[in-house]
Amino acid sequence: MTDADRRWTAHLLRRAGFGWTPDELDQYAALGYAGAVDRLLAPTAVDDSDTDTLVAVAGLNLDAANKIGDGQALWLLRMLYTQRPLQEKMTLFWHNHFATAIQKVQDPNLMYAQNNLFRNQGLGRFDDLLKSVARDPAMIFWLDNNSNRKGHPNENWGREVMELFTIGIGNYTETDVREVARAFTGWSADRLSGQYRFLPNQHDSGSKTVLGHTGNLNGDDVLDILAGMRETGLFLARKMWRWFVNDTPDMGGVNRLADVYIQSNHNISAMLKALFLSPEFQADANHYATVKNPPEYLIGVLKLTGLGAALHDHLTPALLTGWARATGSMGMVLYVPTNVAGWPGGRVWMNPGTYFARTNTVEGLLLQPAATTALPTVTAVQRAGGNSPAALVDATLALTLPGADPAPLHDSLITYLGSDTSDLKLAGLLRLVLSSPSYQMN
Amino acid sequence: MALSRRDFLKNGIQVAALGMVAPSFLVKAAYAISNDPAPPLPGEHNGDVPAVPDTRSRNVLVVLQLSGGNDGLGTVIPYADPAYYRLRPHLAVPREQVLPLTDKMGLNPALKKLRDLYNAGHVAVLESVGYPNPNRSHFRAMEIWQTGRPDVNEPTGWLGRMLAGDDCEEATCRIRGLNIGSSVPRTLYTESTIVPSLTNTANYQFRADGRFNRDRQAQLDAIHDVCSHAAPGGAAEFVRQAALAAFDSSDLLQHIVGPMDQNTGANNNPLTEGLKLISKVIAADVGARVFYISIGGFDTHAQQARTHTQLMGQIDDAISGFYSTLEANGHADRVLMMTFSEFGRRVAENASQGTDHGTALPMFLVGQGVKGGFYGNAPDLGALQDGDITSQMDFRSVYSTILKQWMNVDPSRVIEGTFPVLDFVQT
Repeated sequence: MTDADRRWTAHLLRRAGFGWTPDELDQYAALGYAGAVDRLLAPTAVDDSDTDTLVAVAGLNLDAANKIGDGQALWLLRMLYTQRPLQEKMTLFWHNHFATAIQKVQDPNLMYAQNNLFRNQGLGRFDDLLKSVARDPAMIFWLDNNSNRKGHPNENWGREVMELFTIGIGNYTETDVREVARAFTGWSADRLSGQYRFLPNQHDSGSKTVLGHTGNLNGDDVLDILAGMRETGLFLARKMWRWFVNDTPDMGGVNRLADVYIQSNHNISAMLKALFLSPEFQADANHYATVKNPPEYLIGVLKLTGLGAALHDHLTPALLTGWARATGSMGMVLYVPTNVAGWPGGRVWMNPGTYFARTNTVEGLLLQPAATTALPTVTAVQRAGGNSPAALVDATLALTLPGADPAPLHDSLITYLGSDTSDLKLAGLLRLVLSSPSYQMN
Repeated sequence: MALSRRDFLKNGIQVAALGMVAPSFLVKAAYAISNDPAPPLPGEHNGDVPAVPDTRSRNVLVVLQLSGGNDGLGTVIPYADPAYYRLRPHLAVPREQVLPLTDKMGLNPALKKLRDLYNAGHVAVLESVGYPNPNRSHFRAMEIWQTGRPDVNEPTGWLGRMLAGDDCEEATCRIRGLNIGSSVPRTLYTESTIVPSLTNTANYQFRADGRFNRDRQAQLDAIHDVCSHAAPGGAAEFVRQAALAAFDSSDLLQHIVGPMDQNTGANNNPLTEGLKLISKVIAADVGARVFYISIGGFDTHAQQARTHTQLMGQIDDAISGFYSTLEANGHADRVLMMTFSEFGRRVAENASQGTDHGTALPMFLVGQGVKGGFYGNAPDLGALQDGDITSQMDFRSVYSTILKQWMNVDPSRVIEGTFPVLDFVQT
């Protein structure tokens, strides 16, 4: 394995997953960069039964209306321990894309079912995902399609399916919105059973014209039209670019990904593979160039410091729901996106308030009961750095920010350490690194 | 660059001079709290630092965003128009319940305290505010209101642009405005403007408890030092500035707000809590000129009546409570509150006893500085465009008026194009 492999594999795991434990980084780097990409893209080839067991025994439940905190905790548990990091990252990507919020859906079980839909179908063919989402009860309640009836269309889903989920604003007219709404009349869901149901009597089977196609179009016909359009490929490519590469999508790169969308018959994994193997993804300018989103930060810290592994056998509902509150204080309340367009992301994650949420969360984590013995990271740093402040700082930076410029941190950290090389002081050192502007970057 | 100078005050407020100039108003404000005379700042004697204007006389704008598209017709109600009752068979508010403002228009019955303020002359109601070719997408419409540009996709917000060019130099001001919430809205954004965003002050500080307590100051010094190295630009530099702004504003805000009501999260009207925090910062008078707060839930596609009434009650409590606090503190004459939403709602109700996305809607302006009254005419429900209300005034006229007449800012610096200045500000 070359240093370059390790550097870019670390980058890949930060972007395509939620960071790495030192062991994980070693394992993925040993596959070579392309091998690591392949492994991420084949999640079902990796055994993840340990995570399923953790979820099953976590003592969390979704049956009370106020239990969304438990739902958030279950998801964070998966993000932390999954052996299929890209699958989990794409689950979050699709939650942000098909942004649905608990307030209107009300039943946490429905949010959880939607979450599983994203997990199971998030790397396949976009058409299939879209058709499942159109029948997803959480989405139906969220965008009021349960009250979209023949003769009385409710336009909410009809508009958002084009504006936010497929072709994007500017590519349809207000008439298209009304016609699409008609095509989805009768696509409903039952509150009691929490199941999708089609109400034939409520469906408008008259002729409709959507984006130039005329006929007795039903919802699936409309979704086929939308998924088949290059605009959808462009729209998804732009979002993937923002999510995985940088905040300013490069039109050349976005066009290439849209080509892959069309050529692969709308295959999401094919787009992601092209993205991760693109020169832009591995460009120096895009290394540590985006702001970590809240789970990237929180889960990344738990993995990196060894706290996640140390807590594996000591998880409690209180601990896990505490993590959910932490991402909330950083600006991402899972299952409560900012609005139907998801979270704005990018720089918007960072402001003085969310900065304090980050540094104070880290401060709290380093005081976890499970860290009664020295933090695993601190032990590793001591092993590498002995009693020399400079060597301890170097070891900390090598472990936490591989491939980053140490200059902004190095001297200040040596001054902070002074001659105190105790566990506590090294934990303080770690807090500082994790609070630095450098570490906020992904 | 390392720290060039540090001050540690007796009461624990730390003021660090970062870069070439200190955040001078912060230093002064900090000393005002400590009762110690402020030491001269670097450059203050030789005129390198522009004088900080007397903030006491400066007017303040508080923006209340109603997210989701507020039903304008259910807020300011055309109770004399039979078309309203015809088009809203389930949702129309019965005529006898409406709180009349004029012989044609009245307020939602849940806005009783706002009506009292109106009667006292402190509320201007602007009817049917909008812009040409209205957009019915939440995001695009919100973007248009927040950026002030219906014509192009503009990355910066109108309030951000106002702050970025304000007479307080960027490097010397850290609390120019305040947003209540966990992320900064586009409207306050420019590449160089950083506005603190917070939900409560308890968490708005660098914590070090338990075994780290002794080490807190050493950690603060170190992280300050780390943050004083300019990043190569882009997002990294933005993050560094945000962290610096956090340190610079934290102690000050802690002192302004005090140990207040740290547990008031239990209050079921977070809008009231947010405005309480805003009123404290206004009363401390540290130079902040813009405050921003939002309340969501207005996207009432189905079963609108109950939700909307509840929301109207919340804003009625919050606005009137805020006004009373300001009045009691003697600041009601220098604070103007503006409400807006990204769009109103379709005139005809839908089959779900809700309403779909619409266009123009009324705005409220509240404060002793407004000329109270009703501006515009009752919407003409017989002349709808695609089922929606035609706008009577452009929102950029409202912004321009606030900029010019209230904030003393040249509108042309902030708003593209020229729009008529309206007459709702006391001059």
